[in-house]
Amino acid sequence: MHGGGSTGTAAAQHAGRLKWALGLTATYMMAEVIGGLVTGSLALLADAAHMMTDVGGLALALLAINFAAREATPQRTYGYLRMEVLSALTNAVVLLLLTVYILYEAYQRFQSPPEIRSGPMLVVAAIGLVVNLISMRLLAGGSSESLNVKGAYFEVLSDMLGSIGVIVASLLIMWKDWTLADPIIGAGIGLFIVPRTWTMLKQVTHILMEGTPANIDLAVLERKLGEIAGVTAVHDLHVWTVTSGFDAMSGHLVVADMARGREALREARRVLKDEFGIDHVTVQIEDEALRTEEAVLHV
Amino acid sequence: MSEQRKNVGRADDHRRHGDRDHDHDGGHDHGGDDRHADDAGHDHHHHHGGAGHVHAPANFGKAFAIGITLNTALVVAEAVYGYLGNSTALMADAGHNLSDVFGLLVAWGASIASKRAPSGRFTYGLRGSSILAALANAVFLLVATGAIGWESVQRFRDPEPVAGGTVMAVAAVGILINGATAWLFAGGRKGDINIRGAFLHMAGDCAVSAGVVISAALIMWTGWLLLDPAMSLVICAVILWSTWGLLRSSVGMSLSAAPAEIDLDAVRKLLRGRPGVAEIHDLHVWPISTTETAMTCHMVMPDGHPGDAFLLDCASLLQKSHKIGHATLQIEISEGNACSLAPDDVV
Repeated sequence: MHGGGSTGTAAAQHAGRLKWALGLTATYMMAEVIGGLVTGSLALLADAAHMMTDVGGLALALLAINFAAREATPQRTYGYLRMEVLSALTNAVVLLLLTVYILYEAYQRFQSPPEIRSGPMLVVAAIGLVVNLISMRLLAGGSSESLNVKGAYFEVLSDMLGSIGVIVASLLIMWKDWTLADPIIGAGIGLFIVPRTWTMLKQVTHILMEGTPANIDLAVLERKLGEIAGVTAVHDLHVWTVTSGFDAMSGHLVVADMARGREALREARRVLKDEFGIDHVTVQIEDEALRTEEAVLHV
Repeated sequence: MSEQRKNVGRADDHRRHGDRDHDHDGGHDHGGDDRHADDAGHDHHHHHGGAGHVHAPANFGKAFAIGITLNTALVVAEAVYGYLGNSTALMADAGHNLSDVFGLLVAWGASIASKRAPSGRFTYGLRGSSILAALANAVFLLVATGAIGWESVQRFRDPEPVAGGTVMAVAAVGILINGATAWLFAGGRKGDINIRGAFLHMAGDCAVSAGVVISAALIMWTGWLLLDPAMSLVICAVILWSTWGLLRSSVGMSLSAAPAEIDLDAVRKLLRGRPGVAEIHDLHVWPISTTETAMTCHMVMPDGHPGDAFLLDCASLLQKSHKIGHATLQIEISEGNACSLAPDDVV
């Protein structure tokens, strides 16, 4: 749970899988770019662009894991743990920008559909489907634990559907000679990821704004702390996420008798760890006087 | 009410607390008056009134409103005349100014959101949005610059005639508008990187417009069409240069790095030097907004909890010498208590 050591964040355990997925996706992306240029298919190019964000996303995820393992410096007291969150943010923003580009490109091609060689297009897309299925299996295990791996997983998932889309488009062109299928499906691939990307963007923003983790009910936490023997009041409570899988907490406990502050601290730490899974806590024990001082001072 | 709660501000609110001093008595009804007496030795228990903080974000609402209006008008003018006059430099400038309008909107939104009260979901309020806004501004600038650079490179291969007179006139207006808007934010560019982002944007734009005027003049003089994209590239380089610092500080803040102006060794020394402190660990200092800093620290004090006076003293020192307004100190009585966060390799 607690970050810092070599075991690091949830994502660290998936580094091996990420590397394999990265190698596969990067190789295939190149094939798809070439295929897109040769066949003139936007759907294929859109899919390649998608792949490119996968490659970027996977590379960023790996980079973040390496950064997270780096030790804290005097100025960066949390080390580079947040790098993972930032890389997820970059990922989301790049994906959204790419969607805009694809839509623009689709609009242009809709106006004047270019000649498309549907045979090679079908072959490239079929290979892509296989590559995506393998990547998805690699990443599926870690997607529920780490925000970063989750992001990467969703991208690969959407790419798999992208490959299916390209296959459908090439078949439509082959049999019905309906060339507009290409820009339409290309645009569809672009739009497909928007809702998911948006969700990821929201989660990342929540972390960067130091919002309370979704699984922690601050009111309950406050009540539990207030129930500790000798504690008369709780204030200035903050729980935030440093990086996925690593929450931190700070708060002030007012005790009636300072002599029993030590037990209160010990109990507070136990409650936070056992009942809320928060390891990284800083609890300021104080008595009534400071309470009156402080109540109006802090965030 | 909530706005007043956000800062410790002990060091500097003597001159500010004024009329707000007595309407925040959430903490005064605890019957702790007798305790107050203990604090008689400290001169700071009655004046924690207003939004007193040296770095407290000044109100730039008017600057934002004026800047956004002027720039929107400029974007429209530049786009129209750039299209008619067939100048990429001018069109690119319109694009860049459009990114500025977004940038200003984001910075404005963040400076408003920063004043929102804390809630159960966002226990620090929405202060962090100012950091995100600065980050977004840096990225906007870089993307816009990349786009201009790309256009310019393409223009090198295929230079087109430029209607010098129109371009110059519109860009000259751009210099005025961007310069004026930059000037509106100039006062806040040192303390708050959110405002600095807005300032850089506008100052950068001023430079872009100036570049366009110069290149248009030179084209009229020499007829050398390549000057237009060449000037665009030079301007891109200038913007990249100035944005780099903004990107670095906003990324640093997003990574919860301590603000550069806070010397953590000095903070460490200060805390370790307090009477009765045997050892400190798990010190974290991080920005909760572009102007406010929070800290947590664990202090080992074998002689027992020294009481509130000590905590207040530390908080006041931290505020005074390091502008750390939001400190939480965990006092650990014995080293046998063995805090799990104590080892150096644990964050």
